[in-house]
Order: sequence, then structure tokens, then C-alpha cells
Amino acid sequence: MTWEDTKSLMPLLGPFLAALAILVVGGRKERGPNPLLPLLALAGFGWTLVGVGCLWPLEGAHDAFAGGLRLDGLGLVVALLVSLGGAACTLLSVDYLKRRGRNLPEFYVLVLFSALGMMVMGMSTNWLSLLLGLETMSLALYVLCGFLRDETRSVESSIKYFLTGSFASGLFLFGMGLLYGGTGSFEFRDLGGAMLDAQSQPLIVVGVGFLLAGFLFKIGAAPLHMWLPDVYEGAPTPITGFMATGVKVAAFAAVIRVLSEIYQHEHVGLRDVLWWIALITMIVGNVAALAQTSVKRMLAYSSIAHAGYLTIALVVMRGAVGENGAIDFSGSLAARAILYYLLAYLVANMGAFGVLSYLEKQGGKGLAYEDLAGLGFKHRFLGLVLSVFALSLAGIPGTAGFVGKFLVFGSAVDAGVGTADSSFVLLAVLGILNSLVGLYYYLRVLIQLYAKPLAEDASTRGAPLVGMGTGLVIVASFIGTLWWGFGADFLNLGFGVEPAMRMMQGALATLR
Amino acid sequence: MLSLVIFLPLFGALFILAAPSLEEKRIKWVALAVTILDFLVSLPLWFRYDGDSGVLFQLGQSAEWIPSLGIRYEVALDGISLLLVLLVTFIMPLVVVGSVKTITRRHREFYTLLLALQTFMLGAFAARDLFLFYMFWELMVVPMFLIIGIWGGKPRIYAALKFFIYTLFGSLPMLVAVLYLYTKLKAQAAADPSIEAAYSLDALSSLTLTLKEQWLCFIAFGLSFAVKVPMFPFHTWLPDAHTEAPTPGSVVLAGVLLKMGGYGFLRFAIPFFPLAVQQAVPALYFFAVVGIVYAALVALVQTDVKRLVAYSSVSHMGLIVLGIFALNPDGVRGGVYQMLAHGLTTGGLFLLVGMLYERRHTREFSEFGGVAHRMPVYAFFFLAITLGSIGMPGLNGFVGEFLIFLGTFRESPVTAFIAVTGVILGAWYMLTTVKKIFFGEIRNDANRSLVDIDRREIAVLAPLLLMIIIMGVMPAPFLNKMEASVQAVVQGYMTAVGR
Repeated sequence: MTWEDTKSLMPLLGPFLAALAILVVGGRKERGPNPLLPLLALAGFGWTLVGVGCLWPLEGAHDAFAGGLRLDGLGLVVALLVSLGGAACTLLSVDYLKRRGRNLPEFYVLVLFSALGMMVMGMSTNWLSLLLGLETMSLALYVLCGFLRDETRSVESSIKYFLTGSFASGLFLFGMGLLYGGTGSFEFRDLGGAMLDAQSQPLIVVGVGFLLAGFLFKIGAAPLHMWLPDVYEGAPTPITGFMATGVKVAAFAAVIRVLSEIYQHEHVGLRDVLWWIALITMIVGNVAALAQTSVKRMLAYSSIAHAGYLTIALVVMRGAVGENGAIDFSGSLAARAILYYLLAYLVANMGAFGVLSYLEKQGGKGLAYEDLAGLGFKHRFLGLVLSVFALSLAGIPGTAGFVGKFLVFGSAVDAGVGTADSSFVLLAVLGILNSLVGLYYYLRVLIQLYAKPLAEDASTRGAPLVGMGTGLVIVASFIGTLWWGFGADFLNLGFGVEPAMRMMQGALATLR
Repeated sequence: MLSLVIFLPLFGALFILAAPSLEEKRIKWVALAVTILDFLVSLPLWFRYDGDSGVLFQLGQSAEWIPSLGIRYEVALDGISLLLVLLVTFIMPLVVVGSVKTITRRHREFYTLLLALQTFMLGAFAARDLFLFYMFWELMVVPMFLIIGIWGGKPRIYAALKFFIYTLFGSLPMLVAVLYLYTKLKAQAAADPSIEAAYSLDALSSLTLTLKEQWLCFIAFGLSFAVKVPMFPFHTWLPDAHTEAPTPGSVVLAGVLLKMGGYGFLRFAIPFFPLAVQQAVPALYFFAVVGIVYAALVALVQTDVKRLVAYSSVSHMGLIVLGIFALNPDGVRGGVYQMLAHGLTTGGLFLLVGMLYERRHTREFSEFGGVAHRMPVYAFFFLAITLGSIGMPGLNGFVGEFLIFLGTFRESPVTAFIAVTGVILGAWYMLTTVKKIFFGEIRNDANRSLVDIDRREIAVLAPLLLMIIIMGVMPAPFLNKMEASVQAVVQGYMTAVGR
């Protein structure tokens, strides 16, 4: 541990210190919930955001803990996205938990720790730190899912997530073990070389398989998605939003790092496996989402579908190995697409869950499609923003979601033209047909909002004013969704589509 | 200038949306002011566009947008898009005036959507960048979907969803093709430094595609345009959407949105995939002719006036496709001219049907008869616009149809012959409609209390009729404006297929 190490750990320090501070300050029950605690959590995320702002653009990379953690462009982007999501989750939770009477300090501590875990995952370069990040994140999330302990569904969500999640961690660990056996090292970087060795190849193939299963479980890819709808539906709504986005950010960043090593050798059949997983995940997510009656559950299934779209980009990702073994994916449209898609998904999804957390009533009620009926005219702004979020998730042009989809499908077509392999273009076509299916259930939200008459008991809904935190998240997500959808950087202020695109590109230049 | 024309309505929409102190009743005036202003701003485009200058695309503007993907904001007009842009800006104020009585609730949302829709339509006609075009193209569907879904008739949600899903089913494959074109261009640009990889149409024109690629992309693009036109057998969304849409929605849909399809064929399908088009022409003729005759026959048996006009729309749009794919100057000229003419006449017919519906809340033929006794002025307009629609010489429909048949006959006399029967049938069902509604004795007592159209309604119809007559007796100025662009399309195609 040297001074250099601490420097590269700066972004992580924010959530960590804030969590410790809340533990120290917030432990006194008799005085009731302290309004400063969420502010402390926000300060933690703010620290990370400022840290990212100061460090960007990063020349090269900084290693810490003997190379176990690597602060590079990708790590910074992960820290940025996760802390945006975490801050949004915190802001939403303040209002949400107050209404539920569960505004306890532990909640914020756990959010901070799960965010910390996600960031560690995004920065890890060996199996051990990856596992450390994964478990920190998961353990905190297990508890957060069950935070509304008086509600059966929340508890069910927690236990389900814990049991299946532990199993996934087991798979992950087993894969790690096999890989260690195959490569004799915990480093990602030794994976590529060892794959060429005929003797260790079987171990590595099986190990990567198990490892991948662990990842796919976390992102909710089919056929490892069974846990997801129940867990997402039962968890407190802000947490669902954070889980759907933050976990994806962390897991996909880690997968990019791992795959960038594996993809150095083209002979692996991994692409074929991922091809089918992407297809099945999209179909399962979209078709199941069609049948839902609850908007929250629909968003849960649609999160599976989005994992499928993202997996398309994993299938076609390829990068360049530069001199002295550096891996540069900045030319890979697919890797860039993943990061941009995650950004788009983050803003739209946090916004949508923000609106839902506002609409939700005691016992998780009030989230059926019918409960949205006529709301677009009663709460004009709420209706407008929810429509925009739904359209963005559906991938309608003018929203960030469209640019994300455009990049993902574009990268698939790009790979198809580059290799004359029509299966990649086919995957893009199938993905697009899937998003047509997805369109239907997102449009149902708009139909309920605008085309259906206001529900009978609307007067008794007694809608509380949108709390400041919730309002802030919704407005920010709304702006972000449009801004990263068509925003042009005429004034060179660094906002809009192009700068974000450049940032994602730069983030991928120094993967190793 | 052009950008101002495009985005002025959107600013108006945002203003309406963001001004909560604005009274509901005032909103329509704001909308009217915005659309009229937009029309006035767009008029100079007509005078400043010089068809003889040898430069096809004029009055353009462009700016950096997403350089790392080769996407620019780029708009410009040629003769064809100029006329279509003017069609939009001309028809929108009339739509606003026409919707005053129809739209009785949710004014703010309605006019916001209507104005936003105008921007998207204008943008799609003016876009010179494929990405930009695609964006406007898909965005158009959203406000239309909501207009049908919120203010439509009884099964409006069904109709709105059908409309949305159908059109997106058409346009999503186009997205893959768009991506493919760009990727292909990028690959070619890597080999040849003189090629620039971008989504701009100018850059894409230097793309070379094999026949197979042309076919696949043509299917993807063509599907999207064929749904929009709509061409048989993709027309089934249209009668539902039209019948359920509120009058202003139908007018915009028939007057402008359908023209997107024809425009798309002219602007993208023919120049980019000429070889595929050449092979597809017989099939396109077939579907167009079947559409013309079939839709006309279906129109004959309708009992609902609006549905009848909707089917007549399908039939007439088939004519337009036929003219465009005759791929000689006369046919293309006729196709474009008929797009304008059809926009005016069918828009007018939907307005007229809407006026009757407001009075009687029914559109069944059997309910009417002898209406001319009570509403002479209305009957005059109805008959005049109907005559325009069926191609009476001296009115605008005639010019377009005549040119289309001239062009088609040269390529395939049989096709032209069959297609003419569609026009004859058209005269039949339209004139029967007039007869059933307006003439004879008043048998239904409910019709005795009908009031003739008022000054506001005359103010909507009079400019339309005026344009219909002007375009009927003086087609030359319009044809001159589009001449260079039509020649360019035909020449480009001829060179590509080596004829």
C-alpha cells in the first residue's frame, strides 16, 4: 500500500467513508431518524462524482493492491454510473422510506456498500477482487431487498435472492477454482495465454462456463433469470431500480474485462453460446413482460430483455491487442455500445422507478397498469416523464434508449459486415423484432396514462406532493434521457450524445 | 431558414406545454398562430428555390451532431420535398381551424401533439441525413398514436395500437438496413480515401452494393414505405386508423403521413437500390394494381362514409405508387403531383365527413339523403372536392392521374388498363356517395334540422378548394418546380440499370 494506491482508490473512498460515518453517527435510535444521514450518503456519492470529474480524462491507468484493482477509464465510467444510480436511489429512498416508516440509517449504509461493491467489481483485474466486489454488492442487496420486513413480498424477495444468489456465488467460486487450476494465477491477464495450452484448456473452458453462469445470473440472463421477477417485484422500489441498473453496470464492466482477454483468441465457441443466450434472454424477457399486469413486474421482465440486448454486444465485441500486450477496445463499437446502453438504461430506468416509487401505496399496491389510468391528465408532468421513460426503454428515436439500441444493433451489423458472418446481422434483426414485441408493453403504459379514463377512486388517491428527492431524480432522469437521446454539443460544454460517446470510447482504451 | 420552418411548430408545442397559465380556450389560437406563422415563413422557400439552377438541393443547412458516428444535422430541399413541405405548412392551419369543434377536451395535449407532429413531418421531408430522417420518421408515429388513442372513436385503442405496431414493424427492419448501408460505406471508405463514411445522403450516394445486398435493403426499406403508403397487402391498418382517428388526425394522416411512403420510395429506395427496383417493378405493379382495384371494390360496399374515404385513399395511393414505379418522367411527375392533389382532396373529404359527423354523430349512408336541401353550401364543397378526387379535368386530381396513366401506359399498357378501372370505380363510389347523402327527398327527420356550414368551416374549405382549382388549371408552376428533381431520379435510375 503506497501513496499511489490511495490515489487510485479515491473514487472508492467516498461511499466507504460515508458509510462508516453513518454507522457512527446514525446509531442512536432514541432521537429518531436523522435527516442528515441521507445527505451524508449523497456526499459520499458526490465525492465519487467529483473524483471522477477530477481524474477524467485519465492517462493510462493506476493500479492498487498489487494490481488487484485497476483504476482506468472503464473503472471511472463504472464509478460514475454507479454513483449516479446510487445517488438517485438514495434520493428516492428518502421519500419512499418515510412513507413506509422505515427510514433507518442502515438502509443508506447498505446502499453505499452495495455501490462500493459494484465499483470494486468494475475495477477488479483478478478473480479475488472481483469476488470481493461481487459479494460486497450482493450481501448488501440481499438485505436491502428485505428491508420492508413487515411485508411478506419483501421478505420473500430477500430470501429468494439470498438463496439463489448464494448458489450463483458458488458457481462463480467453483469457476474461479477451476481457472486457478488451469492458469495457476488469479489474474485475468493470464487467461488468454493459458487458453492456448492444450493441457489446461478443458479446465479453462469449464471454468469460464461456470464463471459465466455466475455473471449471467447476476444480470438476469435466461435461463438463469427465474429469481429475478419475484425479487425485483418484492424489493423496495428504489432498490429495484438500483439493482436493475447498478448490478448490470458492474457485471457488464467485469465481463468486458474478462472477455477482452478471452476474445484474443478467435477459436473459442463462446460467441455461439452467448449468441443463443442473447436470443433466448430477449425472447423470454419480452414475451413474459407482455403478460404482466403490474408495471413494476413488467419492468422486471423488461430488465431481462435489456440484458439480452446488451448480450448482443458481448457476442460481437472485439478489440485490438496493442504493443506490450495492452488491450485496446476503444475501436470496438460493441463495447462502447454496452457502456452507452447502460447509461441510457440507467437514466430511463431510475426515472421510471422514481415515478413508480412515488405512485406506490402501502403493501406494494398501486402499481398495476390500471392504477395509471388517466394519470397523464391528472399529473401532467408525471405522465409526460413516465411516457418519455417508457419510450426510451422501448427505443423510440429522440431518447437515450434509441441511441443505445442503435449502437448495439449497429455493432452487430458492423461485425457481420466485417466478418461476412451473417449470423451477427441475423442477431441484430432478431433483436429488432424483439424490441417490436417490447414496444407493445411499453405502449400499454402510455395507453393507460392517456387513453383510459381516470380510475374511480382517483380522488381518494390523495396523492402526496412529489418529495424533493423524488422530484429531483425524475427531472434529472428526464433531462438525461432526452439529452443523451438527441442532445447536440453546439456550445462545446461536454453534454449531449457526442461527448458521452467519446467518454465511453476513451474508457475502453486501456483495459490492460 | 429551413430549420426555422421545421422547428417553429415544435417551439410552439413546447410553449403550449410549458405555459400552464394559458387558458384551455386560448390554446387553439396559439396553435393557429404558430401554424399560420410557419406557413408564412415557409412561403419564401417557394420563391427562393430555383429549379433551373442546376443545383438539386438548395436552401440547406447543416451542423455537427454526432461526429464519432458520422451523423450530421443536415436539411435541404429539392423540388419534390419543397412541394411536400409546402403541402404540410399549407394544410396544418386548416387542420387547426377544422379541429376546433371536434376536439372538445384536452386541448393542451392535443395541440402540443399536433404541432410536434408537424415538426416531425417537415423534418422527415427535409432531412438529408439518413439517421436524422429515420429519427423523424419514427417520431412521427408517436403523436399520431396518441391522437388516435386519446381522441379517437370507440375502439380507438385497438386502432392506435394497430397503427403503431404496423408502422414500426415496417420501419424497424429499415433500421437494420440503415445500419448496414453505413457499415458498408465505412468498409468501402477504409479502402478508398475519397469516400467519406457518414449517414449523409450525399456520402451514401457513392456506395456500391451487390444485387443481393440491394434486394435485402430494398425489402427492408420498401416494407417500411409500403406500410406507410399503404400498399396492398399492408393496408389493413389504415381503415381502422382512419375511421377511429378524430377528424384532424385523419386529415393529417391522409393528407401528409401517407405521402411519406411515396416520398421514401422516390428519395431512398429508387436511388439506392436501382437494380433491385428494376427486378421488383413487375411485382410492385401487381400489388399496386391489386390495391387500386381491390380497395375500390371494397369502397363500393362500405356503409360508413369515412371508411369509404379511407378505402378510396388506399386505392389512390396505389395509383401514386404505380406512377412512381413507371420510372419515366411522366409517371414520376404524375406520382408526385398526385401526392399533392390527394393530400388536398382527401384531406378535404375527411374534413367534410367530420363536419357532417359533428352534426349528426353518425356516418352511415342510410341515415342521410336529401341533405343538399338543408346544407347547400356544404353540398357544393362536397361535390367540388369529390370531383377533384375522382379526377375531373380542370381540378387537380386529373393532372396527376393523367400523367400517371401516361407514364404507366408507356411501360405496361395492360397495367395501365387495369388501373383505369380503379378510377372508373372511384367515380362510381364517390358519386354514389354524393347521390345518397345529398340528393333525393329528406326521409330521415333528423336531417330536417341540419344547419349549413358556418363561416369558420367555409374558411377551412375555401382555401382547399381554391388550391384544388389552381392546381387543376395551372399545373405548370408546380411541375416546373419538381422537374429537375424528377429528371434526376429517373436519370439516376436509368444510368444505374443501363437503359
